[in-house]
Amino acid sequence: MGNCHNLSNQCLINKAEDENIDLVWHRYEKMLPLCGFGEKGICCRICMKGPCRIDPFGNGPQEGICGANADTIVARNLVRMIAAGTAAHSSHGKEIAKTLMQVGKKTSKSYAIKDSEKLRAIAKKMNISIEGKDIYQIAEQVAYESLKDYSRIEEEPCTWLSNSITPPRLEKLEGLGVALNNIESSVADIMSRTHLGTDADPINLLLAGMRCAIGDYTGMQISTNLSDVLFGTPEPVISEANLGVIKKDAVNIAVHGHNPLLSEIIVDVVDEMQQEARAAGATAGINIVGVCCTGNEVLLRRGIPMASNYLSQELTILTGALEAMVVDVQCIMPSLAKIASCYHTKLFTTMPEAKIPGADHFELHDENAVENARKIVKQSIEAYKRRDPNKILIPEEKSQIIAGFSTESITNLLSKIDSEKPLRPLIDNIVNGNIRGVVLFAGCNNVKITQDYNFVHMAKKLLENNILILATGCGAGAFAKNSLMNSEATNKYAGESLKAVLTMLGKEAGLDAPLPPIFHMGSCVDNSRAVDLAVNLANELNIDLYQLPVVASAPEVMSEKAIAIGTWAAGLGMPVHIGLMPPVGGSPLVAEVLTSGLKDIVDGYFIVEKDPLEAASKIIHVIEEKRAALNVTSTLEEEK
Amino acid sequence: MKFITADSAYCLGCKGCELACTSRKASIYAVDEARINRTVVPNIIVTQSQDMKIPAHCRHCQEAFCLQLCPTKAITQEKKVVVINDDKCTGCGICEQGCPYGVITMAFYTKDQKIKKIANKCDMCMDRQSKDEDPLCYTACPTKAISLL
Ligand code: SF4
Ligand code: SF4
Ligand code: SF4
Ligand code: SF4
Repeated sequence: MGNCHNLSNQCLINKAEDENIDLVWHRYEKMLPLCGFGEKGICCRICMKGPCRIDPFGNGPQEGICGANADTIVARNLVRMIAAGTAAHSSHGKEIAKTLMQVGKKTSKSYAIKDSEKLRAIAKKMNISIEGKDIYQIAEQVAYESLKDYSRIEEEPCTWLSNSITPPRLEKLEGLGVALNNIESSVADIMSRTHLGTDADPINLLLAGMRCAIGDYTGMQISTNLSDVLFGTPEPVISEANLGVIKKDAVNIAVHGHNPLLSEIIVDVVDEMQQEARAAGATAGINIVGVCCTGNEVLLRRGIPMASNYLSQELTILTGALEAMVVDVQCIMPSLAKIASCYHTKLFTTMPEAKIPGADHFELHDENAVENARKIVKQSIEAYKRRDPNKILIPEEKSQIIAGFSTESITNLLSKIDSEKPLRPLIDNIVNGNIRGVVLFAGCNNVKITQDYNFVHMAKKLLENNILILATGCGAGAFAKNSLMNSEATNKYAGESLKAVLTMLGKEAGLDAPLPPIFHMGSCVDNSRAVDLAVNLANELNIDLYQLPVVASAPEVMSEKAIAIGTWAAGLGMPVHIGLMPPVGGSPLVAEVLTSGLKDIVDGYFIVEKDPLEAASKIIHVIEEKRAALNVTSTLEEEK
Repeated sequence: MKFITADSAYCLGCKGCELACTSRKASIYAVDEARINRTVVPNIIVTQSQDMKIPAHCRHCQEAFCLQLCPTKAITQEKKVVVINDDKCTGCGICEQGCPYGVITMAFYTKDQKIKKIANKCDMCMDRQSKDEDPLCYTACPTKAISLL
């Protein structure tokens, strides 16, 4: 098994070996064998009587010292992962909401409102009257009402939950007691109930996990929507992806992490410093490239090229041509500091809650964001002068991409065909079977799987079967790097009827070529965009989300955030494929609930399948089942 | 004398056996030869191939290659246990090459201020067994993937 599906990256892995630098793949090899108790979720470290381990084969202990059995331990561990994911995503949203609040109060030095139309639309959605209010007053109130979702005392559901899902879904979640009123207390609730000697009922624990995961969803809605207000709602944009976007003759700065608050400012200050970079010898000036979801954020809004998704982040430094890596929060490998120290590369941390030993810390507070961003760029230009030309190796490969498919931009595009009912053309094509269904790819890379392999192989098979694909996060990164997000990919991989629809849409969009077969919707918090699209479709058809022929997939899942996303996606009614068994194998009960019992309660459930082609077949089957239930053409009926 | 056998179907790769084996060795060398600084390596080694966790351990072969190959006759069989005499071992590494199970490791230790390389392998916890105690890796294994013969 190789390290990366994209072979152009391999030369840098070899380079690391020549230079005695350990990368994620080497550290993984050294870690083997991985401890099976952790893998199966039956290692409990919650109190100091332990750690306790349950023997899944029945010979050794079947209970922890306190008496907790495998079901309790697995459920407690799993919901703690959900809580961590929810905390990460929702605090991202909170930062954005607090910034919008400052903008509304006119106390912000660095930020402004870029999309006032969206702000007004949000206010309307939140039932905030805009009569007689100026844009700042509206911003302040939108921010205030959004922040209430983090702190509400009253029992009514979070605003960003109730205003963004279908009415029957809300009713269902309320009936189950999982339509939460307060994101942060849902995280605290998990930590409290999983403390030793509190909740021991696996089902009760899992329900609490679902409630918390719905909080993750709510936080994402806030992140995406308020980011659009501050930084603009994405419109289709043409750019490039893969390590080949790093330029030999430029001062290359990578922005990495998740929160656009930082990267937007960096992109802003670069223009005024181009001359300085050229004076230092970089004839191509300053070149910003993206990594992970920060990369997705600036790609969608600014067309900044994408250098790498999660697993190959270290390789950007190995090119020997990266002057600086500027990071904010989440998915940043601590190894970057050590690897940067083998090169002239500077690593800059920018958030008070995310420091890395060996990095330089420049905090990007609202008051000094621009000033510190300039310092970072200045030091990057200085670093350029220290570059060792003998250590440069930039893989040439890069692929063209069309990104920027926000719900709004898709609707705008479709309204050129039917301005009254913009979603109609999409619905018609789903109903008549030209588009069999939609799969949303999300989530991470995992070192246990050849990087991007599962994404690429599943996508090719689904496209061939006329299934439209939406992608976010590092899944989107995988498709971007591997030439699956351009018109050529539609001609090459899409089935005949899907190709026809995308060609027609491409014409309407004023392109000479079809739209890409995979729509890049943004970072991982932008999974909310895909939900918005699905909710709009469901509302138009007067059905609930679970009835749509829509499936979510995270074939290379890794992080706690991904577990949270998968859980809420199931909670909203979607079947969710994952390419790796999460740490629940030690409890057949919990595994059974997630893969089947859940379906009876919330309609959504997990499908665990390692093999990408097998997984694609299972997804196709689910989609055809849903089509049959909707009484539209289904291959299942043809078989009968 | 009891012997161990390991069933990889029950092994979770926790390395509890490795840790137990190493801690015994560390205690022996620390107590008996306080001034000798020896690299301590476990004599049961857990590896992973695909999803399978495999504990590799000495089989105390009847016709042991390691014993037959040792040029200095440092390896002998006592009560069916194949053991290495540290003093006779010259660290040539031939036994390591010869073992079909790959369970001999070469390690360095310092004696009389000289660094010496010697071979290291399982001795079936003979000292413990003589006190009627079980081999330590067996005791430590939480899933009983290791059993006694
Ligand atoms: S909480 Fe119970 S199972 Fe967990 S470590 Fe403590 S005693 Fe063991
Ligand atoms: S070390 Fe290897 S060859 Fe020697 S007795 Fe043990 S298993 Fe057999
Ligand atoms: S390393 Fe020691 S025990 Fe092994 S063959 Fe050489 S001398 Fe004999
Ligand atoms: S102690 Fe048992 S389960 Fe753990 S690695 Fe050793 S043989 Fe495998």
